[in-house]
Amino acid sequence: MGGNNNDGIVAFDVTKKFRAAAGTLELGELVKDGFFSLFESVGALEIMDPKMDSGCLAPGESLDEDYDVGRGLSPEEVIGIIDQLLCLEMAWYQGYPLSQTLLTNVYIDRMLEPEPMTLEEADFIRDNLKGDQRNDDPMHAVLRSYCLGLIKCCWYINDRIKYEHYYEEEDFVTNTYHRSLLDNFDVDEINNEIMAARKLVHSIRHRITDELAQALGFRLELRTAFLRAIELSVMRSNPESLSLPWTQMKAVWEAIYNSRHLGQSVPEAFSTKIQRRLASTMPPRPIVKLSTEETYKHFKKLFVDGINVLNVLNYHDSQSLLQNFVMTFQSQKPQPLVYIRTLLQSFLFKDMIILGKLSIRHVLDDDLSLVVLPASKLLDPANDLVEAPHHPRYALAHQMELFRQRAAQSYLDIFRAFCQNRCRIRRTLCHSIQDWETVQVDAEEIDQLLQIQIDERPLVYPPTEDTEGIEPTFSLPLSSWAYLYKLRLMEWIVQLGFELEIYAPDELGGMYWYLSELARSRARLVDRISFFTKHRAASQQENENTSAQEAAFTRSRHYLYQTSLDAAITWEMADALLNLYAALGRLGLVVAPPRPYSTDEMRYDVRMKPFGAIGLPELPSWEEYRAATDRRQKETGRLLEDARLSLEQAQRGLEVMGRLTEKESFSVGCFERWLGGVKGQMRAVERAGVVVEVVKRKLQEKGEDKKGKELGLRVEVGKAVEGEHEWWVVPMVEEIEVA
Amino acid sequence: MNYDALPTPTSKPEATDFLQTLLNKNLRVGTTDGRMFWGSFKCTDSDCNLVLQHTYEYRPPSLAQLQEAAAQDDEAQKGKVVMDMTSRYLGLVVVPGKYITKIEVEEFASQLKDTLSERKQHQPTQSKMNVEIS
Amino acid sequence: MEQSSRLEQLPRELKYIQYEHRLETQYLPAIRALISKDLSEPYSIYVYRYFLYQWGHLCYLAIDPQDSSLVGVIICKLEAHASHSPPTLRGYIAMLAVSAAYRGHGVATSLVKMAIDSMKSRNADEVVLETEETNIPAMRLYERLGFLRSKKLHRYYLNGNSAYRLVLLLKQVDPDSAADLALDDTDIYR
Repeated sequence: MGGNNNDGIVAFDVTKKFRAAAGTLELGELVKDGFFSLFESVGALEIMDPKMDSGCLAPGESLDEDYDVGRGLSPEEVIGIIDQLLCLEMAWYQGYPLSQTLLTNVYIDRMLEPEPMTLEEADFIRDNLKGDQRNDDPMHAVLRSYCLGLIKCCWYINDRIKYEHYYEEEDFVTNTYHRSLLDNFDVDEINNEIMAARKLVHSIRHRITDELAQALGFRLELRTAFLRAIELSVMRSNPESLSLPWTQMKAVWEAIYNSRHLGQSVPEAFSTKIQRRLASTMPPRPIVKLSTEETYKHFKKLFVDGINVLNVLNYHDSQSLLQNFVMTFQSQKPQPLVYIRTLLQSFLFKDMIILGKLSIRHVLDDDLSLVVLPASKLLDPANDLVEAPHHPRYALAHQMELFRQRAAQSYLDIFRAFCQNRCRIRRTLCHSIQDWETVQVDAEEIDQLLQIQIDERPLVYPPTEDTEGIEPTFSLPLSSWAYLYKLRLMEWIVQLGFELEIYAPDELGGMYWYLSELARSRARLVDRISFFTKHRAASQQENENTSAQEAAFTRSRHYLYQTSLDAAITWEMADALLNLYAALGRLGLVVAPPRPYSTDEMRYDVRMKPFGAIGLPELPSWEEYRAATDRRQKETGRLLEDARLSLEQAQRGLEVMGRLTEKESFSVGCFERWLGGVKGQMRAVERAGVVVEVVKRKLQEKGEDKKGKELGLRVEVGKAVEGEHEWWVVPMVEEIEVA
Repeated sequence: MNYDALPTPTSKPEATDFLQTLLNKNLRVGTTDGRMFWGSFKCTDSDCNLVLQHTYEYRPPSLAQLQEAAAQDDEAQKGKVVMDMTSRYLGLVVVPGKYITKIEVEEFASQLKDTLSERKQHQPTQSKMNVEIS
Repeated sequence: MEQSSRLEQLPRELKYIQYEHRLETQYLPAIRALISKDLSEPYSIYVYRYFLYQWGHLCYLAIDPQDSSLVGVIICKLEAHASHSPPTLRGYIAMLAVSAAYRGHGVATSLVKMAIDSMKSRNADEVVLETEETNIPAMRLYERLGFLRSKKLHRYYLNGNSAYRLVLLLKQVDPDSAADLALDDTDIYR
C-alpha cells in the first residue's frame, strides 16, 4: 500500500498514471467537475507565475527575511520607521490592503506572528521572555509600544468599518490575512505601554537630545489620542468633548510633520516578501508608496473631518441634517475617508437611534412638518393616546403609523446612500427612485383615507377667478412629500452624472435640458404644496394658532421658499447651458464623434434608462427630447442671448440665496460648506457669462456662416473647472488665430 | 480505492475514467520549487494544468529555520529533525503541469476496503502537517 | 501607451483572422503574453480557455503576415443576461491588446469592429465593457464607435484605479421590459 498514513488518511502517488491519462486528452479537452464553472477561474492564482503567485521565489532567493529585528536602533531610525508606517497607515485608510501596507513591515510581522498570547509576547523580539537576558534597548521599547498602539487602532477601525455599510475592496479592504490585530488585548494595557514609553523617552532626553525625544514623544502622543478618539466616538453625545482628541491629533500632527527631517529611513524593515506568508487569494502586489507630503495632507484632512463630522450630532432640523450636513460633507473633494464615513453612519443610524438620541419617527415627522404638514393635526402626538377605535383621532394615528412604516426605510436609505462613495451614490439612487415611485403611490392611498377622516375641503388649484366647472382637488400631503423626494433624487442622479464625467460633451446640452425639466417639475410641486399650506394656515388662524403653530408655519414657508429658489436657479443655469451647448454644437465647436454603430435615439435609450420605469414625471419621448435640444426654431444668436438672460436670472437667484441665514438656508451646523457650494455655483455662472459673451462677439465678427476654427475659437469640454461647482460643466473657450 | 493496484491507463476511455474518479478528491501536488499544494481537484487538461479549489500551500522550512531547530533539538544529534511545514490558504489555484513533480491522491484508510470508490470530502483538521526531514 | 516605438507607417497590411481551436498551440502563448503585458489584472490559463472554448468565434487576431507574429487580439463573450426579464443577449469585451509598436494605426478599432459585427450577426442586444478611467485612448476608441459611459466604478482595479462601464446598444429597447439594462449591479469582473 502506498502513501504515508496520517490521521487515517492514505496518500497514493499517482503522478505517472495521472500524466499518462492526461496525455490522452486532445489539445484543450478538459476533464472537469460538472459543478465547477471555468468562469470561476477568473479569480484563480496561477502557481509559479510571479504576477499571480506571491509564494514564487526567484532563483536563489531565500524566503527568510535578512533583516535582524534584534539589532540596535537609533532614535533617528525609529522616527524614520514610524514615519514610513504613517504613510502605509494612510494608504490602508485609502483602500489598499494591509498586505501592501502595514503588513509589509518586519517589526509588525514579528509582533503578530506567531500570534502573541500575552501582551509581553507581542514583541518583535520574542527572546525577551527569557528573564535576565531581557533586551532593555529603550528604542526597541518605543517602537514596540508605538506599533502596539497602531495595530490596536487598526483593529478598531477595521471592526467599525465592517459594522457599517461600505463596499469591500472598493472602499476598503478589511482582510487581515488570518493575522489577529491584537483583538483580545485590552486597550488600557496598550495605553499603559505607550505611557511608559513616553516616560522612558522623557527620562533619556538628555542622552538622545531634547529634539529627538520630543519628536518621538509627539508620535507616541498621536497614538494615545487616536485610540482615545476612537473609543469616545461610540458615545455619540457631547461633540465638544468628543472633539478633544481629534484637536489634539491635529495639533501634534503639525509637530510630527515639522520633525520629519530628524528621521532616518530604514527601507530594509519593509518587504513584500512577507506576502508569501499571508493567507491570501490575491496576487502579489507592490508596497504602496504614498509620499510624505501626500500623507501629511491626508492625515490633516482626516483630523479636520474627524472634528467636523461631530457637528452632525447637534441636530437642528431634518433638512439641515440630510440636504445640507450629509450632502455637503460628502461632496467635499477629496471625499472624507471611509472611516470618517463610517463614523457619520454610526452617528446617524446606530441601533436605529438617530444621532444617539432621536427616534426615526422624530426625524421623519420633523421633515413632514417642515415640508408639507406644519402644525397639522395629522402629526399631533396626542393622536396616539386615543384608545377608542371609533374615535377619528385613533384612525389618524393608525393611518399615519402605516405611512411611517412604509416610508421610514426609504427615507433613511437616502441618508445611507449619501454616506457612500460618489460612484455608489449615483448607482444607488438609480435604484431608489423606483422605490420612491411606489412610496408615492402608497402614500396617495393613505392621503385619500386621511382626507376623509379630517374632512378636508378640496380647493381649486391652480387658483383662478372663474372656478366654474373646475374640479377642486385635495392637498395630498404625504404623496406630495414622496414626490418631492423622488424629484430630488432624479435631479441628483443627473447632477452626479456631471460630477462623475458620465456624459459625453455632445450629451451635456440634452442632460441640462432634462435637469431643467426636473427642476421645473419640482418648482411646480412646491408651488402646489405652498398653496395648500397657506390656505390651511389661514383657516387655522381663524381658530387662533398657538405660537408654536405659527413658528411651524413660518419654518415651512422658509423651507418651501428656499427649495423653490434652488429649483429656479437650477433650471435657469441648466437652460443657459442647454442653449450654450446647442449653439456650440451648431457652430462646430463641440463635435460629436462618428459613432457608426449607434443612433442618436438608441443612445437616448441608454442614457435615460434609469428614468424609463418612472411614471411621474414621465420620460420625454425621443422626439420631444430632440426638438428641445437642437432648438432648430431659434437662430444661434438668439440661443446665446437666451443663455445670457438665463444666467442673469441664475445670478440674481444666487445672490438672494447667498444672503440667507444659517436657519433660512437649512444648513445649521454646515453653513460654511453650504455657502461654499453657493459660491461655487456663482463662479460657474460668472464664467459661463464670459464664455457666452466671447462666442457672441466672435459670431458677430466672423459671421453666422462660419464654423469651428474659422470662428477663431477653440472649445474644450471636460469636467467642471476647479473652484466651480462640480454639477455645472462650463466649457473652456480659448481665442485662437484664424489661419 | 487502492490506486497502486490500478493499471496505468492507456486508452482514452480508461484515461478519462481514471481522471473522473479523482475529481473532487484532495490532491497533494508537489512543485519544482519544493512546495506542496493541497486542494480539491476540479479540472485538468492535456498538459496537466490542474485546478485545485480551497487550496493550502505548504512550504518546507528554510535552511535557516532548520539550523535553528537543529541547534535546539537533542534529536538532531541523531541526524533527524521533525518540523512543521508552514502553510497558508490560497483558495482557487491553477498548478501548471510543467512545474508539477508529484501528484498524490488522498483516501480515508477506513474506506480502502470498499471496492467502490466513494467521493467524499474532508475538511482540513489541521493547517500544518508533520514532515520528516533527514 | 508607448509613443517612442510607434511606427510612422505600418510596414505592411496586417492580416485579421478569427480564432480557431487549431491555432491554440501557435497563438495561445502569444495571446497570453500580449495581454498580460497590457492589462493590470493577471489571468490564469483557464480564463483564456473559458473565453476561447465557448466564444472563439468572438476572438480576433491581428497578424503580421511577414513572420506570422501576433500584433493584436480581442477576446469576448456573448450570453443571456439573466437579471433582465426577458433576458437580454449581452456581449462583453473582456480583453483587448495591441502590441506597442503597432499602436495608432487603427488595429484596435478594427478588432473591436470585427467583434461587434460578429456579436451583431449573432443577435446581440448590447455590448458592454469596463475600462480604466486613466485609459483615455481606449475610452476614445469605444466612444467614437458609439459606446456611452453608463456608470463609474470606484476603485475597480487592483491598482486602485476607477473604471467606467461602457455600453453600446445594438437594438432598440422594448419600453415594457428590462428596467435597468446595463445599470444593474451584477458586475462580473474585478
